[in-house]
Amino acid sequence: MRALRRVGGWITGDRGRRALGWTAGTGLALSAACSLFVVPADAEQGVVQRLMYVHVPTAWVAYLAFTVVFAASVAYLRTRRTRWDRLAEASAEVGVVFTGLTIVLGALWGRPTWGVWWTWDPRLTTTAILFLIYLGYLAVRRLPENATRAYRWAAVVGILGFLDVPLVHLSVLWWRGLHQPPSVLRVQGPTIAPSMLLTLILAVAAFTAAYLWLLLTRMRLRRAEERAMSVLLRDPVARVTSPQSTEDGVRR
Amino acid sequence: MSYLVAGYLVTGVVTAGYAASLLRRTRRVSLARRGTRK
Repeated sequence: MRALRRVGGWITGDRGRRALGWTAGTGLALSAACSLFVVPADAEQGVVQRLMYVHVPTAWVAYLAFTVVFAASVAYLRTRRTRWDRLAEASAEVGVVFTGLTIVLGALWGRPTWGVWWTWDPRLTTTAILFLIYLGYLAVRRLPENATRAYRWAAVVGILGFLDVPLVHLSVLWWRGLHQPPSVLRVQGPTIAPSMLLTLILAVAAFTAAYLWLLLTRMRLRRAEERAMSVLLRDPVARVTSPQSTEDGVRR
Repeated sequence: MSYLVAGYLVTGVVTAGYAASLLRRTRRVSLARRGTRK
């Protein structure tokens, strides 16, 4: 447990975050090279199938990010510690970026294979709802004037919004649509060729490292904002002249 | 082919753009805090 804490402390520190950034960057470059030039193209779809190596990892990161939002929101409501809200907010923002990317990449893959950019398929619809839920989550944080109330409201939305994540994943099994059923995360085992699976695992690992780096960097930004706000609260002159300052010093 | 190129480009630009914006915002907030201290 102590060793785990030490590793966690190192990763969240400046040196660890920098090392994670380099790992993520190298992993992403390596995964792009493998998926574009090494692994064979799909026999039926041709080269456009290579979009799988970015579409699936971005969807995975979105799932992961919103799972972290859920866990951190539960932890916040139980402990009322700001650090959990910081984690939830950072993860939600990264999750929204990657859900948006998933939708755009899906449209770019859908156009040549299905003939349409968008269709009201169950997987696509539930993913669009997921995107809107977490955009709402980020908006809710700005509504209340009181910071702790904003954290509480956000935590409730973060927990309720998570209900859509299993719905997105299972939508291809529960309803009929254009989107294919899972080919990796299935009880009977993966259905894709081993070389494609290996490349996909590499891409998922690289995108997960990128997610962790973005998460830590976003949390660092929030801490910097909190420190800046505490300086403003201590210095009334700076508070009056700052465009971001408010009556009670709480950032909206 | 153009869909594939567009997909990888969008992924690269969005991910790198978001990362750069986080670093820029952190730097700006830190600089503002130092300025306030003076």
